[in-house]
Amino acid sequence: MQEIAILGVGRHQWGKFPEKSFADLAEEACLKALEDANIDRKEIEFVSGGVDPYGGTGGMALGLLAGNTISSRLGLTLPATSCYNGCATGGWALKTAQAYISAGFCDMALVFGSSSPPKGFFAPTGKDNEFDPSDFDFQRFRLFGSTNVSGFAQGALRRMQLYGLTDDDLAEIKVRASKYAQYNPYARYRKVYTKEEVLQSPIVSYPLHLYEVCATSDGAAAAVVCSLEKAKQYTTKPVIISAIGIGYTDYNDPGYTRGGFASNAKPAVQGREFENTVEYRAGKAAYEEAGIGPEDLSFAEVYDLTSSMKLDWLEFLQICDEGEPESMFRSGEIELGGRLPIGPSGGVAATGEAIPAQALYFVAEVADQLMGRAEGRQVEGAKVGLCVNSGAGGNAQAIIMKR
Amino acid sequence: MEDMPKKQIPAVEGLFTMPPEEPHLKGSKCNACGDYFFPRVDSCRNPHCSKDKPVEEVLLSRKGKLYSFTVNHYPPPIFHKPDPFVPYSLGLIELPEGIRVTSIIGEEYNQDNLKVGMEMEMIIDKLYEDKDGNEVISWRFLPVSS
Repeated sequence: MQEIAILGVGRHQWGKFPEKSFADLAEEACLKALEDANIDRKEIEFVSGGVDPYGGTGGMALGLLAGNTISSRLGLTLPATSCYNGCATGGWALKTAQAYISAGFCDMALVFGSSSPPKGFFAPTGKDNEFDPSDFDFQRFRLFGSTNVSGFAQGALRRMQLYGLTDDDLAEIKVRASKYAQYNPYARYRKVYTKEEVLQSPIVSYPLHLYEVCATSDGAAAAVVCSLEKAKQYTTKPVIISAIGIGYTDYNDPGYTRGGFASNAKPAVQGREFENTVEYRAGKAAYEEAGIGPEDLSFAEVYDLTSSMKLDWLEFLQICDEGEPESMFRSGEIELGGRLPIGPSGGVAATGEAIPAQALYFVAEVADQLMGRAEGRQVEGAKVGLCVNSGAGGNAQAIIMKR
Repeated sequence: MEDMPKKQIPAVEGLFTMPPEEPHLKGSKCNACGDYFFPRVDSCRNPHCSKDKPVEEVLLSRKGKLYSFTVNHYPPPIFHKPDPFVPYSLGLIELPEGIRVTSIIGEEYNQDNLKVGMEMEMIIDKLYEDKDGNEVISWRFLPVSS
């Protein structure tokens, strides 16, 4: 696969915007990306959009036809496609564009993801599947009340009992993230929290408090990407996407937070437990494709759906070994100004998650860092950035960018 | 008038043995590679298996180790619990066959009396009562010492 260039990025702010549709959000993000790229939109040859399962109101299912919906809005007459891969959707939309460019089908593409989900716990919708035993996602709610947060909480609990993670750490992770978020204009939560406020927020699923779990948010992000050759017409120093590493479900992946209620036999057959995850495999694939290792990173943005997951990523991305993230966090090494800042944007903790848009939110954030325009949260001298996502159904991606 | 005896209905058909049988989850075992599956499968899913032998139905161990757990403090959507809601624990049990299975543990268990790695044993218990007064039943794993 070829490296591609990012000419411009755009984001709608994250939050709840009941007066706006997914298409309104997407249009704003796309127009900002086109403006940032400073190109005539007629130069776009392909549109790759992330599906918003909550977008549109039936009939033509405009959210499912996201690529076409937004092409029409922008007055573009060109090939457009849409994909859905859970939280990895935006990254897959980008990967699709990369493949299209690498195959020589086009030189320049517009990529976007947008979402306007309902509030609260994600829950099964649509028809009652009560008697379908093969609908594991439905049955996990019905048989156990096992929400996504219940799954995340079990990961956090295990860290506590095995590696000494404390309630205090979990709260402090949110506190530090909120200190960065105050400078992030796209964040939904820009308030700086105290540890007491976090610990006093209600427990959702023990040990996770409300403020240690990300909310469901509205948001949209977009990027204009092109071949490296084409980029020369516009800039001498583009942001380059070096690798989009794909992690996929393996037979041995315990995968217990990704829907369903039982793993295959023999989870964690070989090696360390985290090596059997899609997140680890995504990172490994990206490092291999880019020809670099974790030691070459200037910073990373990780998918911290909970305070505890922020630490999990340090293992997944081989930044440290199993059981070491707790001490690494406490030492300050992963803070802005430290050896390897992780999540200087404030992360998902600061935005809440807009599923099909979230991966591209981070691509835009990493691009802003590499262009030196992440005001208030800038990583000094940032040259190589990594952002990751982890989606339902066994999708994960690690995206390495450089400038 | 005598009360009608309550009928026990499995929450999902075919996942576990029905009382008065000993409580077990019903799984499958591949006769070629020896791997186990739950719920039951029609063919082996191990990509490294030759798949030239049939899978057979087996009863899985009713004892396992607690892999992790949580206590739900908010009523999850579409979950049948009496009003008012009482926080309850659920967790993942690792069976000797290698499978990790989700289970309700119960209202009486939480971080004070549960520990990762402890031995757990399966029972069949009422999940909720349906509108006709039938007991809808499913599995639960409880600490063995209790």
